[in-house]
Amino acid sequence: MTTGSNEFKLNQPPEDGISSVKFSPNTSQFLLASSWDTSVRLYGVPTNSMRLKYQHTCAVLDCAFYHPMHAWSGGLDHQLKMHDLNIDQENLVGTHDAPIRCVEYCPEVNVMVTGNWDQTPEKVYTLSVSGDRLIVGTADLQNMGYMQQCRESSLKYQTGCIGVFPNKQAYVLSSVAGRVAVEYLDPSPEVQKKKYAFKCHRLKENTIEQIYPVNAISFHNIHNTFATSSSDGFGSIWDPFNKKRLCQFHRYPTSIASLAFSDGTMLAITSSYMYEMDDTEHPEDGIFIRQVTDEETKPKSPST
Amino acid sequence: MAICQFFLQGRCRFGDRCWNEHPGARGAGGGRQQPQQQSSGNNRRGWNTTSQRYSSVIQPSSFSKSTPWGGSRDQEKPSFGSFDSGASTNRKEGFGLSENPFASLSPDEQKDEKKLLEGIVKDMEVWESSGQWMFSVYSPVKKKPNISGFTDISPEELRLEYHNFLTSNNLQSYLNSVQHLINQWRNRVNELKSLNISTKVALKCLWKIYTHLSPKIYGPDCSKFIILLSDVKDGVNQAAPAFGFGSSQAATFVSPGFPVNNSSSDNAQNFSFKTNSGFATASSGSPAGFGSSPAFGAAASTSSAVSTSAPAFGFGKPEVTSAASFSFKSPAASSFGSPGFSGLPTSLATGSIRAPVTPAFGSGSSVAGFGSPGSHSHTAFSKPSSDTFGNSSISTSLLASSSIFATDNVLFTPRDKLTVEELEQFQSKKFTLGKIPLKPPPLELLNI
Repeated sequence: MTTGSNEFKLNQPPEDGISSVKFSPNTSQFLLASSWDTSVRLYGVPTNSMRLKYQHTCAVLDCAFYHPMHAWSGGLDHQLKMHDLNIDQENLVGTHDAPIRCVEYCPEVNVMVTGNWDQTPEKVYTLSVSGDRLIVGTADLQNMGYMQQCRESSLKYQTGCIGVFPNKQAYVLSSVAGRVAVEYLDPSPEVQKKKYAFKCHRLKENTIEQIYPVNAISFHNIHNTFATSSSDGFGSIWDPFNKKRLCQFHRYPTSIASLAFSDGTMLAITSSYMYEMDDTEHPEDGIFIRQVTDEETKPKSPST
Repeated sequence: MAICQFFLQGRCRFGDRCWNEHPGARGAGGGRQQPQQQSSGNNRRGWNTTSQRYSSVIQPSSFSKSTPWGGSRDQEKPSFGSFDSGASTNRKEGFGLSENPFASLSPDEQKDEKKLLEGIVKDMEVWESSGQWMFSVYSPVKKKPNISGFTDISPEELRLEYHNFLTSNNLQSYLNSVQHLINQWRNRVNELKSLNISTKVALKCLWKIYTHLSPKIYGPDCSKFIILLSDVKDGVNQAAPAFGFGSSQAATFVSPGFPVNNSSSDNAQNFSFKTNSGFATASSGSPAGFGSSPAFGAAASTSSAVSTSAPAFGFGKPEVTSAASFSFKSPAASSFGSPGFSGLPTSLATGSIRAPVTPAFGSGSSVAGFGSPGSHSHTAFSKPSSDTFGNSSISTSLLASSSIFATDNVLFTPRDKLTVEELEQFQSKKFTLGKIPLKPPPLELLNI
């Protein structure tokens, strides 16, 4: 497949599905990737090299940076591991009773948060941190702010992913049914009226519309615009204020499992088959790093 | 949405696919995709409308506002508030069911409901044809419960199962289980698509009851309670999916397609999403009769019931008669009165077997697990010692009435079998406390 000059593929990608990628905070130099091949890898982005790799015993479902030197990860082995990237040393932080699905860092409270499938009270599918708040998307269409608000998802189907706006006022919720909703945290009715939803990531083939799950959402921290990606292999960047799509990327070889914006200059796109349709032959999994421009990520001002 | 200038001039080249609004024509839905090879800077000629600039934007897409469904349908937002009429005065009692839930809806409400049902049919069609992820719960409207029969499984969970089976060299079982799940899903979708009379009744009663019970009092979790009720009769053995509760006990359920089958017996039902397996169902005597209980995998015998009778519960099977003997005074119920028992659905679920529902309602403390934590523990259900209300009668009528979901006559009372008083009760707009019939209403009196 062709890559433009503003995009390259990382060398030595994980050997199986890639579940999550994260840039290190405040820099676009390092990227952490967790994978179903049980490894967590650290890549040096400018040099396009794999710096470090450590293992779990089972597939790793999510990873996050605590600060540039510590990586946390968790997965199907129920273990939460912390790895010191400087000295390449690993620490088993704890064990859950169930697979760990999400690992996130909350800088304001200085904690790592994990979400897992132990059903208390419901399986966690996705989570996102905003300031000192946590937004959790669970099975059964419930969507809970950390005990502050317990909301039912406004989308009709399973939650795929949640992301919180950097301005902390709203969050984005996506479903497996090719739909994304933007909702506000403030429960007052005037603010709640502003919420909306839209359809995306659908391909029409001969009058039948194929609907794909929206797997990943990532925010541009400065512009408050967000990118979504889906199993159809496309990614798009949306402007939530003007309610427009800013740009759409070319189609990637297979499903895009995860997205991550760096500090605003780069977007990591994980092209990784997610086995939505059985174990078939699929293109190699890979992580693509792409430079994003202002044009692609900045909202258009409505007056011009 | 922006109004399409070109359409106004009569020359919009996108026609139906245009993302801007064509006033008077069918409104364009949300953004659609067209394959593009480049990602930057296609300057579309002529797209500069007065208020927005489209240059360097590949796909000028407009988002549909407001309704949670993305508004691409032409239906207007249904106003479901109308269902609440009359129920408010009963809220204090928490139950609101002294009003006859079978009173017919006002024409407005009926229209809304019809729209909703049509919406469901359409959704099912789209779901099927679009290749959308099938293992997802489905909720037609916010603030209404999820429709039973669907369960949430994420791709990762499915893959996990795949791996588990792979390691135990039991791939065939995995495939069988998945196939089974798919079949269940398909059955359910077809049921909803065809909207036969029983499904319609089920849904309508479900919504009525849900409205009466109102999340205001019970919190959003009461939806789960309702779902249980509907599941008890509608035969798709998916009673568990909406439940997250009861998890603090060992008695957690697995989503129904996955009975945690400790006895590694016969079939593909070994597929389990949860590794812990202590189910309270063990205590419940004879679960075999009910299609929904096998989901809890209590015993080998029930799991075989899963594979065979999946949709059949309540539809003419002989076991159904025992539903009528949902005798809410069954002594077996006592096993569920225990205080450690939190999470109403656990009891209900197993209660579908022998009717421990009553004690669950009656045992005040245990209801605390139901609804939002703590604050609603005083529900009408928990009128512990009052005999006339709160225990048998209301719950009976609630469940009995919900048990009409089956078209089978066993679950309706033929008119001639009712006493005059009972008939009167059914015919009146509200039930009178203390006189609420224990038998299900006759089919003829249902306004569907």
